[in-house]
Amino acid sequence: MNTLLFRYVPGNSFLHRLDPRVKITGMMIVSISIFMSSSLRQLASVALIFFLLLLVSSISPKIIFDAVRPMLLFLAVILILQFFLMDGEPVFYIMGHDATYEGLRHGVLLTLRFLFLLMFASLLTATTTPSLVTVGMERMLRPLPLRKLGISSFDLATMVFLSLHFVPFLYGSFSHLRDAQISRGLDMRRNPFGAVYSLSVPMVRIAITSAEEVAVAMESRCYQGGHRSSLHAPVLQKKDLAALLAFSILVLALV
Amino acid sequence: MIDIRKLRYNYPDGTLALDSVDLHIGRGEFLVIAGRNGSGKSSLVRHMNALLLPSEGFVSVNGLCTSQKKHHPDIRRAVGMVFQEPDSQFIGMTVEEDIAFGPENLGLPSSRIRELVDMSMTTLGISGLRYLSPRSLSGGQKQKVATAGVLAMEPECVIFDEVTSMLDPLSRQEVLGAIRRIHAGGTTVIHVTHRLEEAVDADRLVIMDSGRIVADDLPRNVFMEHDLEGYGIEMPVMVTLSKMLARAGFSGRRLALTKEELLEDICQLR
Repeated sequence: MNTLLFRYVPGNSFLHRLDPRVKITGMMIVSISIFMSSSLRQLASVALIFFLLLLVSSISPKIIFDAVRPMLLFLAVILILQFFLMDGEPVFYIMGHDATYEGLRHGVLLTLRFLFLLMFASLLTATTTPSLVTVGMERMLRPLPLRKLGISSFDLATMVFLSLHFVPFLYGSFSHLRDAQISRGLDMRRNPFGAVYSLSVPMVRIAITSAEEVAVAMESRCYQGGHRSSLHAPVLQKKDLAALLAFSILVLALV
Repeated sequence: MIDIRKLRYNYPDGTLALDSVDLHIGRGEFLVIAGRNGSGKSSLVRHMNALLLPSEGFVSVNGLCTSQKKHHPDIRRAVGMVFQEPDSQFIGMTVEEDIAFGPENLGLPSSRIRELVDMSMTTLGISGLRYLSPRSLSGGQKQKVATAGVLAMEPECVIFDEVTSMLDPLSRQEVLGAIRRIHAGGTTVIHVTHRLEEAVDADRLVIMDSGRIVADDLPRNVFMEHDLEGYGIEMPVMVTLSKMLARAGFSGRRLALTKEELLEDICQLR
């Protein structure tokens, strides 16, 4: 199983020690900046910020690459679709479709936006334990009047935590399933549509069964919904606020 | 501590899983429940943790009836459960966080949660695994992490539901050693298994077949008085050897349960 996907990498870097609320807020700021970026120059600035943070975090680039790798095919599909489906100045033709210069430009921008989002998200999860992410989110959501909607900040935070929990688990299950199907004669190249069916139906079943099993395990360990405490009790310090301020200025200045 | 009377349980499809089960488990006991697959062992122990509720009859833990939902948090705190498949019970992405999940649900302060996590990791000898992903561990280590997650809730009783069935012999011995240490610390232990070797040092052995309890006695008495192969479970090798020696006329002073006892008997025959 590929346990490297969105995994936490133990460490004691400045980024590891930052309050999770600061890191989540920083992630939100950088996400908005990425989506507002409309030129390659702006995305180059995003890349510069990312590599600066990577340097500070002492995280190996391989960890980030491992987290992004499963999405590369999806990103390639986005790029190709944009290349061929956007009107503009034709570059070449394939099977009656024009590949346009505008399509290429939009495709590259869109793909890079997704890529950077994934890279920042994997940097967040690599330097913050899921439990700390949950605590950070819960503390940030607590002042909101969620009770009026019939949910609590604890429930929302637990949902996020479980989503993070399931990403590597489902990816690992998919790898096992794919190996099992290939060993029983599945040829993904010759019959891609058959392969989608052979993999997706059991995957849905695995996901539902696993969700049920985790629910039973949570119940047996006294999960009742509503209020929970946490192993971590982060305290917002001056250095955390200073780091957030410095990061915000850097993003605003460069992007 | 746990009182079960006239328990009957039907699966949602109507299949009868448990039929007229009566069982009382005292504080500090080491009880082994054995039986073939589908005999009702897991269904029975899931009633003790209020994961299943009786179709008929009564289950109580420390006097609290499992049929009343308001008692479930107290029941689940008193009776912890470790499942057969550890991967399906991990919640945390690091060992430390997974162990902390139960105490977090109890609303304990952060400092107390850390104490409990450290205590249970030390008891299980897994302090070195603190920041690793539980899924990256070996089978034996995974079961120890799952057990530590239950111990951190300071339960009075821990149920081990076939925790050794998927382990290699070395890991199995390690997990069994951990179970014995937990019992020696005063915790009530209910160990569900189909390997009777694991029952020889238990206080009581309960045999289940077709949803009913067919034997409930000291392990030695159960081995002597019941045809366990008829219930689809194998006798421990030492017991089988001891019985074969007795049939061949080399009768020891009692039925040997362990290799030490068998060796002692053979030495006395010389």
